[in-house]
Amino acid sequence: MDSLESIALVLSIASVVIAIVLSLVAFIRKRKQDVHHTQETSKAAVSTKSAFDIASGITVIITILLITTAIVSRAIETGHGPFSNMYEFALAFSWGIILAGFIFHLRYKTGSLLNISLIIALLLLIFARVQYTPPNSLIPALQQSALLSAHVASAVVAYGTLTIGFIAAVLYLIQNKYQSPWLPDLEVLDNITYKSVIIGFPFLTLLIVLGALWADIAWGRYWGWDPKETASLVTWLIYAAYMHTRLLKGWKGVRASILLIAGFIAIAFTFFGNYIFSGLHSY
Amino acid sequence: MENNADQNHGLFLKSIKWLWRLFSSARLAIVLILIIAVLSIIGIFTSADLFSSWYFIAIGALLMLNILICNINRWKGIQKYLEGGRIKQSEDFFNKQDKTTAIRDLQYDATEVSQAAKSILQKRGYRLRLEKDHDDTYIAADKNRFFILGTYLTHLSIILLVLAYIIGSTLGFRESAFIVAEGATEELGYDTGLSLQLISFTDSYYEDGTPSDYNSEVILYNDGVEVVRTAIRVNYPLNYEGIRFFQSFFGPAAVIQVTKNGETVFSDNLALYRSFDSYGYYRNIGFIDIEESKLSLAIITPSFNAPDPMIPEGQLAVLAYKDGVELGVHLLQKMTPLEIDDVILTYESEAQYSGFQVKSDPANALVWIACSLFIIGLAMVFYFPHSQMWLLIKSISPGNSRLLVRVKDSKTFNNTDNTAALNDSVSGIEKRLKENNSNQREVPHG
Ligand code: HEM
Repeated sequence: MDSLESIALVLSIASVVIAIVLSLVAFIRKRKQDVHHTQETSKAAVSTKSAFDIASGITVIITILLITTAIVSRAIETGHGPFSNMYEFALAFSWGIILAGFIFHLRYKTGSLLNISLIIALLLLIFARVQYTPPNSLIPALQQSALLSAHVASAVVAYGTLTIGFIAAVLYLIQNKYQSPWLPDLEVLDNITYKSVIIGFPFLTLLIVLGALWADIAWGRYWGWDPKETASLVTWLIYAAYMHTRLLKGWKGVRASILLIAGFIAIAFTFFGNYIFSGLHSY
Repeated sequence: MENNADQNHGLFLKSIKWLWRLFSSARLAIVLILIIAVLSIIGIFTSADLFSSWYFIAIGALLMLNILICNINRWKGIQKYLEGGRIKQSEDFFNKQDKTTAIRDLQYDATEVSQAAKSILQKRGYRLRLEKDHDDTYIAADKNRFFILGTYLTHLSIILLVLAYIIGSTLGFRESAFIVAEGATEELGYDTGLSLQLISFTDSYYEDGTPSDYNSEVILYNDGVEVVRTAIRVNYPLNYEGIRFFQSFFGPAAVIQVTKNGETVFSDNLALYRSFDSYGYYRNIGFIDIEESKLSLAIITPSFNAPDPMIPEGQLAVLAYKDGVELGVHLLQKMTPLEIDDVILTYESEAQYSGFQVKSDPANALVWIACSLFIIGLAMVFYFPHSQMWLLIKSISPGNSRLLVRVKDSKTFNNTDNTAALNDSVSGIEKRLKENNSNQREVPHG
């Protein structure tokens, strides 16, 4: 089991690298075609898929399957979900980011977004490899498998989609400045940021609620202003501010993107927080 | 005088109005939310005391007031949405010429077009309200109107959550160190009439030394009557009528007997629950007071972080005071009586104590209800977005009509999606008209 897990992890790193190269090639070829064809106004040719597109799509799916293998074999070995250390969580998080990036790519045809999400996932996979921890036994407080697995599952969905929102927000700022034909339209990017929050925010809420529920069952206190808890509250408040500026003040585009970037910094801070402050959380 | 009172009255009304407007503003909400975020960040790096400071609570209270007034203020607008608003819109209304409008000239009778529009929109789940004006048909269509009530769930559940927190911390209680030694029974207090007996405590470890389980076998008594006999473990609290006992910590205890003139003056399992540091050696300590002799005995364990140079393993040290004057330190061996002043101590056996957190929170269920309502409210607004569409079907001549459609430019529902819904409906109507006609052609004339 142990060897299958590490083989799958190493292979997934290799496979992400291949996927990045393939989709970069596909992306560059398509953009060149796009620029070429817009002059001839032939829309049909643009939508045809190149062999590189298909190959990169398949590689992304293989990567997802490989990370799934690593996560599942780890779960079989430990008997619980990926919640007991940074290694397990980084693995799950990279899975969420690639999956979210791929789904948004299928829906909105934004190769650049997929590429960046692959790169972020690659960094996380390398981080996971460096942080590798052999399965450790669960201390009593963590013996709450169902609840904590649901807690991490919400985190994977929330952080995965909000990472996509962050990438789209950064691309928005770039696109807004340079009007590059290489990047998706502003309207598409703005739509992606909004959709990412529509999915991410409820799961972010669920993440915090499940964490509070666990604390209540384990220690009899659902909220204690522990640094990690507070950091997740800050994240939540930033996205609440995003919702209100958008719905009530009509903030879109640049200002909304800046808020989303702040939100993502808060997520990263919460995620890596235990290197900065000590708390009860093991991840 | 009267004039002055009137003026005051006017001023009063004016300031109430100003306050009301201030607290119904979204700008204030955004500012307050961001202030709380910034204070929280400061709190992370400085101290958790910030979260009980007057200014943090004041900002929170302002936000609650803001939410309340904001939502009261919105009710009229929401009511309008629920009713559906006006049906008949002017032709100019449809003339926006952007992505929220569509105008089609169709080679069909107006009645045929309005039939097709009705059936397509109904199929898409819209509620329809119609008005006729000669040969023209006005349609107002809307969808998911009741789901806008989700905003009330999201906002009011936050107020509910805060209320639940306040109720819990005022009406409930929390005992963070309820200590019971093995074999002993301790009263909880807080007018509960409850007492807890610890039968045994076991701590188990994995091979690598990390803890695997903390298990307290207990009996709970209510006014002296046994009511529950169970095990309390981490993640498995004992819940008795809303009072919950959580396994929290544990430590050494000692069964000690003290006699004076042959009479027992103390006999109990003493929890040595306090730890203290002396030159880097951490030891546990517990106290026995013998009032009859004005004696105070501090019972000390060997160091638990390093081999103890003073107290041998398996023994205890006793530091005695009489009337506040130190009598000196003695070593206490198991089953070897030790005479101090006019009493005799016997250390009968080693044991453990278990420490519990005890919490009574009458509003605990409310917390989880509020959280659920928030998420349900979010799902209602986000995944069942309210949308509105207006149609005007103008008859131009027999066999010729004009279809004008406009979709509501809503901010909740992304405009890209609005445009998609608009195009989908219009092309659906066109397709339906075509189908109707080809069907008619296929039906042979009588
Ligand atoms: C921390 C506090 C708050 C949170 C977490 C919160 C949450 C939300 C969320 C998630 C939405 C979008 C979805 C929905 O409508 O339910 C929203 C919308 C809204 N919020 Fe808040 N809110 C808070 C405070 C406030 C305050 C103080 C006000 C008063 C000004 C307010 C007014 C509104 C309004 C008017 C909308 C737009 C609803 C719509 O048109 O769809 N919110 N809020």
